[in-house]
Amino acid sequence: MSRKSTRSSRVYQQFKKHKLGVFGIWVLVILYILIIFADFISPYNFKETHSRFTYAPPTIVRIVHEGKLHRPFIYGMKRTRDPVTFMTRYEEDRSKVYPIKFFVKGERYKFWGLFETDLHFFGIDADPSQAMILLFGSDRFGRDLFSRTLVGGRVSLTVGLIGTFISVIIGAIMGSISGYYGGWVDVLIQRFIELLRSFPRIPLWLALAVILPPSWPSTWVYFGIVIVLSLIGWMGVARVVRGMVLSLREKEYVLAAKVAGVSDFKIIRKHLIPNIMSYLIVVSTLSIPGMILGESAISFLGLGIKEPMTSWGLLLRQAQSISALATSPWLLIPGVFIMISVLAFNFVGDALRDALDPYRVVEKV
Amino acid sequence: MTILSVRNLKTYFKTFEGVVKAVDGISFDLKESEILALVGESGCGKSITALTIMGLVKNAIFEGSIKYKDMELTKLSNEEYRKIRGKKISMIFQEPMASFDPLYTVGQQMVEATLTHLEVNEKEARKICINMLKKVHIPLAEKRFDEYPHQMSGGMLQRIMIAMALLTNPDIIIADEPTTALDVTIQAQVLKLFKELQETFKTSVIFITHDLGVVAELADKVHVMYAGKIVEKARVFDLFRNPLHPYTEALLQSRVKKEYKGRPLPYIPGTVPAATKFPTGCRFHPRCSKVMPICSEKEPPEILIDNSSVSCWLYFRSDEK
Repeated sequence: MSRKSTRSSRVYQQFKKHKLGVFGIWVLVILYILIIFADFISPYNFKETHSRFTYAPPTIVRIVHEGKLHRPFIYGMKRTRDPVTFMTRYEEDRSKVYPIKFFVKGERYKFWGLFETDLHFFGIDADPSQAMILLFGSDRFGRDLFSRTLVGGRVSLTVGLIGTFISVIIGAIMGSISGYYGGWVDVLIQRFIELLRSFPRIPLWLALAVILPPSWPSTWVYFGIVIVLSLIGWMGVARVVRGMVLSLREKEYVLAAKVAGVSDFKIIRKHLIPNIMSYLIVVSTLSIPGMILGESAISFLGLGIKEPMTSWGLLLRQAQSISALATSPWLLIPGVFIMISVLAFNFVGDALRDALDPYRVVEKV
Repeated sequence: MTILSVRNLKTYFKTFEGVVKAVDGISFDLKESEILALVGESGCGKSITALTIMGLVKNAIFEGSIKYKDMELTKLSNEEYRKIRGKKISMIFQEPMASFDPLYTVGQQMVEATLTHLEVNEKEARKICINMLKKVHIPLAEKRFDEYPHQMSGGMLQRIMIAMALLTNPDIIIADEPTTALDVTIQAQVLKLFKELQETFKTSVIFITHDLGVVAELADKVHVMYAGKIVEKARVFDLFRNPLHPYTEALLQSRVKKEYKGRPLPYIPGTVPAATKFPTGCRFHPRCSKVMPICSEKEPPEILIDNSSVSCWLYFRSDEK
């Protein structure tokens, strides 16, 4: 058997032993499926406002109607006003039953910006002005928080992937140049890294995020944020890569390659980077959560993604005011999603590190 | 014809403890299809000499000249040097296991070296490499070509490394203790192969070793190094029959021989001096059994005797005659 297949199968076996890691992988797979098909799975268009259902609490899906088993359904919602405080209240209207149906027609949306359709994965057969299924409740404008959380996940979960990808590339390049050449190049890059690292993180994010013009469309802002995050995230990678390259460049096979007249660039690309690949994979997985949190922080502070586009951080922004939070605690649900995804990435990263570490003592079977 | 001529070569390193004179003014000539053995204890500057000739020593102070054919190597730019390295001058290393990148098959690494210097496509390169593997007697060369370094034995890898060094048909091969890491039976095998190929390819070789047995078997000429200097240059036959320098003599005596059975082995008292603090005068004098007052005062000149040359005060008078 060739070396490659035995190694990858060994890594796979090791990974499978790590129960939390496997669990994390499944959570991530589900999350990514949810966000890929976000606007199909969500029952409403995430941009659509519904004035009859502002700050509506999550609807409860029931299966028992008047003491008898019923297919999953929801009751209608009655909007009343508290006679004393004039606050809006929502009460279940037990007379109206809306069974949950699959593949229903609802609000129109453009799937992946490609073609327009009104087919939704699930929903109820009623006009949104009469009754709505709001799994996570709704926000100030009566927009469905469930739909918005799914769509917002698109930004939050991809920022981490793309941002980490870019920052690991920058980090690997800078680190290997620094470690391989040594001397003044090394000193220059290392001092530059120290300079960048000595900046307090959040103000630096903000400063860079402010540079993004407010007139930019959402997609541009999105890429702007990715770049801001990766410009700040590469230093840690660069440092460790430098250390690894420092030890790798003394290996005889690097000397052998030099003796054979192979160029420095090729030595870095073909011998140094591949030899630190397993580290890079692990560090990428472990730095995705930082990126997700970073994007949330920027958006939470109002400098990231702009309405009506949304991200988990931006959704949490609505929970900034105490009064909104006190009356409608469901606005915190996007925060739960941030936690789940960050934890899942950390579990997967841990499992990968254990599985890829060649120095780990492997128990004899 | 002289193919490589080294004159007064010095390689110094600046360290916190002072200047390390790793190579301190050595001169020698390498003729076409000749095997020159560079012999000496660990740390005497053999390997640094080799790396300096390859232009791979960084952050050091250099002096002197290295002339390859009509080209002054010390004046070459990095890029020009790179084109000579591996094509005109190749090198074989001590640790065959460590000299291959564990991530690639030996074939991939051979092809990489071939493509760097020869104008061929990948298919032709593969053919050339497999052919070369056959020449170094690798059984099932086509199959071995696609295997990883860890699947092979040290002897096999060393033979593959020799094959790699010969790929571009270089003029000079520098072999840095190529048999040290191999066990004795394999050593003999590899040396025989090496000699065989050297004769077919007419390559000049600088063979670095501390093993005098290997020298006797292989070399045409021997240069003995001590503490960064060449102390004796001789033809291999002369050296073993009539060693001139006391150091060479002591080295030859410290080999394991049958007669020594039951007796303690002879050795050279003391240790190699630290490269930052060489003794004055002759650097060998604190350990020398024939030391004279002048030895600690002045550096001995290079004295020619017949076909040999030696740097030792013992022969000073014979030079005057």
